[in-house]
Amino acid sequence: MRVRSSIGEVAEHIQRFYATRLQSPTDVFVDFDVQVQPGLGLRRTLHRQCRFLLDDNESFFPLPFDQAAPMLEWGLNWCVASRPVGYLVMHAGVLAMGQRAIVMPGHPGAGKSTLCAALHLMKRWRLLSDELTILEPLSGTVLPHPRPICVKNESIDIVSGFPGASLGRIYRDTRKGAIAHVACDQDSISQGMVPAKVHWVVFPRFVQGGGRKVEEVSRAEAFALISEQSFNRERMGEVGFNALCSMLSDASCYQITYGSTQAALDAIDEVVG
Amino acid sequence: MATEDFDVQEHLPLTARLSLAAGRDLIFGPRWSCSAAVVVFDRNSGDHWIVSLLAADVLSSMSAARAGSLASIAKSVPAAGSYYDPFAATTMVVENLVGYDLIQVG
Repeated sequence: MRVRSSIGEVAEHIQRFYATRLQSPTDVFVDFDVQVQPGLGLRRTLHRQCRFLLDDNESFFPLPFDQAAPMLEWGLNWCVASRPVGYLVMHAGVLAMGQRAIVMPGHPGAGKSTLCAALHLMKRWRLLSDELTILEPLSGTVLPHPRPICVKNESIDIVSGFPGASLGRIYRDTRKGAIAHVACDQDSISQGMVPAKVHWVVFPRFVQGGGRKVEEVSRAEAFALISEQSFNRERMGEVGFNALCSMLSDASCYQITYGSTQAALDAIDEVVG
Repeated sequence: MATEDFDVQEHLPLTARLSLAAGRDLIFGPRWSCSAAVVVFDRNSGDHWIVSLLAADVLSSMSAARAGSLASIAKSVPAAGSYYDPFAATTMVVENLVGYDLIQVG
């Protein structure tokens, strides 16, 4: 990935979260040529904006200038979700213990990013992604692309209290409310080319004040639920269908309901045994 | 379901000729032991459905044989045998599948 930006905050964000992965410009082919640049015309100075470009094409409406770094992260998510030909991409967090992966699909607000951060920082699960699960159909493995975990609103305070948590700046008044990014550990980065096999699919459901519950979900129901969270299953056609069926055949599927971080971790412990 | 609860006059006749809906090319997900349902995928449209075992058997039978009467299908599909009234159960399943544009009549 090549990232270009004249915005200082984007450079700071990259230095904070990607410093160990930076390479000097080379002539190698890049999959994504990305820019985050200031707004055009009046928007360079008045009600300043920032723009995201992929391969010199502007793909979204501009955002307020002070959201340049989150725009980079959202733009990168969009790149991964919309571009990879040959991989099934699902809106799900994915972590691994050894070579065994847990996939956590969920609608926004289900609590999966907070749970990802908890598993990663408190239980030392390797982070593959907090947002996008990339399933390689031929091997049936999920591919890592560890990037900062994006946490929102109340979760920011919760995650900042996790041991070893390193958060960046808090961005307020975004379309998702207040957000911040949490660095993943060096171990996840150094294993960024090591795939994992899905052993568990867990649908998290945070319920304020709720108790802990673990329920098995049938694979057919899990298929229906995950399909809603797949970005490109239609485009993948029969290959995507078979890949998802195979993934589920080899995994145990659960829904967990919880009202606190500890309850969620206890539920995951119950699932993985 | 008791036979007397099923009013045959309000449902498809057993002689109805059935075939897969035009343009459907179906493949089936695994018969997972944890599920009483099967995922069915249409290669042409990319659509998928979660259907009962009986519905999957009906569709599978029609995918192989291309067409048949309702009576012959009800007799041949394995899952129908688990129902008290296989013909009534198969008829209702077929009618649902017609509604989903997976089966056509005639």
